[in-house]
Amino acid sequence: MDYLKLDNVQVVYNGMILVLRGVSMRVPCGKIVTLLGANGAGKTTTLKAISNLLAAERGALSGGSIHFEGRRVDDLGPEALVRSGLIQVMEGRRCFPHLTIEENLLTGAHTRSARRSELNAGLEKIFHYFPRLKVKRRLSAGYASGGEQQMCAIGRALMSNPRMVLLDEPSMGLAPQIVQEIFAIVRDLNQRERVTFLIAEQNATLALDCADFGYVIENGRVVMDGTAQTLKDSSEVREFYLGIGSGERRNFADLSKSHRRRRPFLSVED
Amino acid sequence: MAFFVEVLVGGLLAGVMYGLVALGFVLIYKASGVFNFAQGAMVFLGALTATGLEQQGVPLWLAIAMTAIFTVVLAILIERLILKPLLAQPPISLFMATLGLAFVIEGLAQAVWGNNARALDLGIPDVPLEWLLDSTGVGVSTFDLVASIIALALIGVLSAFFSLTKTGRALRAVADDTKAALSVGIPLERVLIIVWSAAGLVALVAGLLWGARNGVQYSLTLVALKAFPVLIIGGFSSIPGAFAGGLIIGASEKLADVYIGPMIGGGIESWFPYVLALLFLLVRPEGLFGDRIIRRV
Repeated sequence: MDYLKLDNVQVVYNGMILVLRGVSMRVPCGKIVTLLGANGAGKTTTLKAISNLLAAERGALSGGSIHFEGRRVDDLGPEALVRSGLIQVMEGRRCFPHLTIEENLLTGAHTRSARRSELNAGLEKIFHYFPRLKVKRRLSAGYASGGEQQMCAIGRALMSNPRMVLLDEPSMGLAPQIVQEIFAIVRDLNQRERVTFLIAEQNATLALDCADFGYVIENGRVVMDGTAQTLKDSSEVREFYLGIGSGERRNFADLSKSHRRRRPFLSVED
Repeated sequence: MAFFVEVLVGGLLAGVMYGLVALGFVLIYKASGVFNFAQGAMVFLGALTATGLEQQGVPLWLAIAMTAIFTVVLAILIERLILKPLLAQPPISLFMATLGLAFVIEGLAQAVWGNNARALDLGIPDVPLEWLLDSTGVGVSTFDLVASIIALALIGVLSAFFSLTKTGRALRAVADDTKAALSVGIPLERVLIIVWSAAGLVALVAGLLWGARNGVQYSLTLVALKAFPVLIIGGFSSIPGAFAGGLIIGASEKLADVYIGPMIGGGIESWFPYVLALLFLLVRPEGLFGDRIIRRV
């Protein structure tokens, strides 16, 4: 079943800059799907279109539709989306610097009308997955390390009891070891809590190791899709995203020509 | 000695009132990171509406209650007409909007209620406490004392609200990072309405107390200017800071006026606080209690 479904989504910023030129994708329930692409390809915009954070950046959906759990959601605001189980962890972590780690986590439960005991149980669950946060719970999040802030941001999102989490660039600016740790926790969460993940990532190697399925986006269009294994084996992904070339030296001019790819029309339709 | 104490106490009590005005600024700054230039106009509007209604024959308590409701309606209007369209714009745009709002409020308030000065009697006598005067020789006005107690109670309630409640936590989250707050599902509209209502109610209380002291007139808007040094000293984002800053400004301006003033020709009360604020800016730009500027490298 298609859990999250984007059909021909177009996004414009400032009413004139077309950033997404018709993105269609499917995220199956209980899976991890990754969205690969270079800087400025449209990964973040795609996620923000889904979580409807575009309005806060003068962006808007100019075409297409988004369905979540069979319901059309592209006219719902972020609050309504969080209530219905879909939440985004923004790029760059975005913890509230002057709130403590624990207060940060609690803001994630804002949409829930939970009693104190339920909230404490929620916190304990987060601390179980991210033991470091428990030690630093009274620390202002602004003073926490980058890795801890990323954990705090993910934990904060989990406090809303989501069924689906959009993770934007979880590896950004973090030490490789921390990134490994975070991806391992994401898998754990996916397996044990049955949370579906859509992860936008530049680090294709890591993302494809973690994900079940992947999409490659370029210039606001999906140019490739497939299971993580298919993508890992694809010569183009190997060359442009994994940095494993064919060995021979190539001229940059040739390279950019072969780089112009299109996904075969409607390849996702089953 | 009794004279020194009298000046000091008078200054501190006046300072609490400055703190009350500063409190309105802090509330809005805390939740939207913007300096609300219209706060002074809101103080004026509150006092003018309450006295205006009273002149129409409405009992004072009812007039105040009606003004309070009106303040909430105004907050909703401000959110709908100004804050929402300006979401995601740089803070300077919002600041300019509050500047415009200040003139609109001042203009409309005077268009509706007229621009002549009115007296406001809250029923609290402005006379020295007799027992204190008799026993120690220090004159402290009953009105100042009552006003200070009201202001202190407001400051206490609001601090507790911000640090202990779920809504307070959400307000601080919005102040720290509006977009991140949106992303976790904090309803921005409701938060802004709550904050502007609270700031409006604080302005109403400040307007009533200042109006009862100095008369309800246009110069009430200028009280807000005294809040600048208070905010710089106390910190823009701290409720207790507004209070502490108010005390420091109130006490120091009175003492300076009495003891330093005569040496340089007097009349330094009106500008001394700004000198103090300038010195603070050099030493501690975030104020005594403001959020420390967290910068990781």
